[in-house]
Amino acid sequence: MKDLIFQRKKYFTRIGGFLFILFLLIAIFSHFIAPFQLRDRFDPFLPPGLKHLLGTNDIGNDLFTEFIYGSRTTLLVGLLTGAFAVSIGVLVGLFAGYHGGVIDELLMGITDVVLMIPRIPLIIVLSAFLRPSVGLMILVMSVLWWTSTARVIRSRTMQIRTMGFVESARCLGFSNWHILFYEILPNIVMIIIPEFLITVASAMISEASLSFLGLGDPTLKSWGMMIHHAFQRGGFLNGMWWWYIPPGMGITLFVLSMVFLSFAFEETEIGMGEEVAIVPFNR
Amino acid sequence: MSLLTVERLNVVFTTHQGKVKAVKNVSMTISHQETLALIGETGCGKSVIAQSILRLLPSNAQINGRILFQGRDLLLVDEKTMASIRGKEIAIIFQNPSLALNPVYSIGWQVGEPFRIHQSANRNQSIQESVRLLSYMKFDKPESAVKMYPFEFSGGMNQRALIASALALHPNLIIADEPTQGLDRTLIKQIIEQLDRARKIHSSSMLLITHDLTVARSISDWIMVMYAGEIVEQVPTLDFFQSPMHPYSQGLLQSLPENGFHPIPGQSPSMIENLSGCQFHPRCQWAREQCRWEKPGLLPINGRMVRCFLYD
Amino acid sequence: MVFPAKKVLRYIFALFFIITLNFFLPRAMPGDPVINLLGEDFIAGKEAVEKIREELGLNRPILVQYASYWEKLLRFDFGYSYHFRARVSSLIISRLKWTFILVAPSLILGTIIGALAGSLAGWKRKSKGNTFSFLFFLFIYCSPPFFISLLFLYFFGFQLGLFPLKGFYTTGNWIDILKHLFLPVLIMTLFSASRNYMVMRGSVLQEKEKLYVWYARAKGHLDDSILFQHVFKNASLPVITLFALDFGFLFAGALFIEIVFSLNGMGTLIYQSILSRDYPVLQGTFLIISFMVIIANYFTDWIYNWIDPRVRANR
Repeated sequence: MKDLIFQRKKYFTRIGGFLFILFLLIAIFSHFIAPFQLRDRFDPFLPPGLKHLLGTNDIGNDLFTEFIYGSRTTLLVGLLTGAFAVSIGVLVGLFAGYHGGVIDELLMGITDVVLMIPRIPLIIVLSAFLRPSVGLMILVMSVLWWTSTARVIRSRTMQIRTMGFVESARCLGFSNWHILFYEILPNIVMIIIPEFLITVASAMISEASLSFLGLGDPTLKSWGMMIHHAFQRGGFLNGMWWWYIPPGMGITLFVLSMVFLSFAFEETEIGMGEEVAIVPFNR
Repeated sequence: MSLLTVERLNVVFTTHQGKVKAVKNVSMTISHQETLALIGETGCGKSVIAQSILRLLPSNAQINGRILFQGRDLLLVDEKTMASIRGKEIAIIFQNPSLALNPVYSIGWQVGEPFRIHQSANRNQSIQESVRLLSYMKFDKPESAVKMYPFEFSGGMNQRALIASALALHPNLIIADEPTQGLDRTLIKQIIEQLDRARKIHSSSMLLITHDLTVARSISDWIMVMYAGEIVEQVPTLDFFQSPMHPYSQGLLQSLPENGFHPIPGQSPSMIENLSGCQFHPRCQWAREQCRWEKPGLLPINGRMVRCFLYD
Repeated sequence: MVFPAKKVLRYIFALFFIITLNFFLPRAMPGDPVINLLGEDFIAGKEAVEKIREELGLNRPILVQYASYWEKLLRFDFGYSYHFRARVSSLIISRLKWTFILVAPSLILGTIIGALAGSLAGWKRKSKGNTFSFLFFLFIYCSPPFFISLLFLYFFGFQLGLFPLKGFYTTGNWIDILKHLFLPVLIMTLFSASRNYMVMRGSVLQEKEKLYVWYARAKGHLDDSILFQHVFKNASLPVITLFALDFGFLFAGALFIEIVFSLNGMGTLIYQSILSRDYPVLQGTFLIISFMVIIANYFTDWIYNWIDPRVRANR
């Protein structure tokens, strides 16, 4: 007797996992999959054909090659931002939730303030002043994106803190650090992973958006950059959908895969045939 | 004609651990102006019966049988008709009053709901009725109480408000599902008295579901004992406390504090697997060979019904 | 409605922080602060630059500069843009109203549509329609707003020729403006609706399991009235919270939509400023957007307090 919820979740998660691994492989094995080099030049503005699956851009670069290599930047920025932002968030959340009191107030105050800083506009300003680069983007995004994770981890930590085994660990004399990392942390892993996935998804959308504005790293071809060029250099006005739709769909599907994967970590109530609930990313 | 007749009710829940047979072939009758107490341990299926009568079971439940209320089979009527019966002709009082109330609406709004649902009253009229109901339930300053919210009241007060609301439209049948769960002794006594008083005034019948024998004793006319989804004894209340017949009933009385607090050995059986023979036999001190293989039927004996080979 | 002191403090602090950040940015960034303050379009000889430096007060002590910066802000003086040849504040004001024309109806519609569709999706049983709407909104949720804009514009504008490709108006009459606005408002609405949909749906799914819902049915309520009378209010609380957190993101999304549709609002202002490295405009817009986010937060808190009685009591 199979449980219907799990069947349905499995369906989504499997698609998500499949897509994710697909993109991961494309990113890792770009050298092997791409038919040409990024800097190779051919006739410009070619429509899709046998030789150039996605045609060529305004200076004659093969668009399919750009598409393949573009996955790397998206993945890189997304995963790194996710890793850093979530790490900060977990630390802040753990400390605030565990210690409570003044530390909690202080950390939550900082969280609230950071939350109110509009992110994309800030990155725009900073990228305009400095040279746009991947490092800058990852850094600024990490410093701004940890707030949601921190809140979630904090409330969970507060719940766990009152549980029996934590109290007994305290009574036995274990240090706070030990308790935090050996007792509490393992219990919040199940929350950290979906937070990570959602942060990665947000970061990917933001990276694409910023690259679209021309603030992406000029040395790295990303999907957002491709669309930026398409928009700026006549690809859009000339109806060359093969230039900007594949990278756009790439971003969407990549983000979709992250969201699908996060469904696997949902805590659903038991009820037959219930739907999957989604925890939204408020970024 | 009796008020409520349940015939051969079977309820099975389909879960990912298997099919749970919560109610097995239960039949019972409640007459007018009568209180029937349904007693048994937690999880034996008592609440499921209550929910079946009101057709409020979750979607993974399968019901079979007949539930005749004033001649109509409730399992066959459409949802709209059922909705008009709920809260008006059959009302339920539940065990967790604070959670049964919506936290973002005032007490007055919620207590007055039956009037808006069934009598097309408008908001002001229903609030006025709430004031009346709350003062009847001995609330201090009901005019200001109606504007307050559930979280501002204690569990006992919320329960009284809910009782008032349930009885507002003079239902013919009141189902009280563990109405005194988690309340302290004095409060229990108060609430039970109020409940009984209200019932008598409205000439309603009551199905009282509880595992508190003292409560059952104080206001019921009949007692039905349930074990693992089955009725094992059905007896007038006085007779039950004087001379329980089924071994389980005897065990229940023995386990009361005033009788020495003797627990019944063993555990209640799983509701998923089928046990051969009598369901109680593993815990019964008079179990015979026959009890292991044959299932006893519910047979009439001396004005009551018992399911046990001891009396065959 | 009295606000707890802590919350107000946080708003003030956030405001302070952002303004201060804005102050230090051009002075801390690499390059000549004069250029940083005036934009890359500012070209002048060495003497003129020195004169400007004096005028801008860059030679004075930092605290004095900070004070005069605040003084200017309070007078709504955000500086001057050499690229656009206009005062930053007037630029922003003129563009902002166009952005509002895009954002205001979209946010209102999007919130209503998203909340309604989301609550129905969460409430009703699994069905083809349910799954379809879920996947539809999920798709929009996962796409960057600029991409959806390109997609829609390509299909409906380009291929089908149903809508004009650029700008707010060509001829200026009502029908024309509506035609121009239709796609951008549609996309912005869908964008905002998708987020509300997801939260509302999840929220209703959770509320559905609660006891008061069961009890409402036991009193004789029919399905729809339980949803709208009981569940909706509770379920909308997270949606309200989301609005505050999301406002910045939603607004940024609007900017992208403007850019794709070449609408003459804040979005294109920022885009052009990026291209020409017009720092005063970029900073000014950053400040204004930050103010709006803070106000949105404040507004949302106020509404939340109004709806949820439990918060009012907890002080």
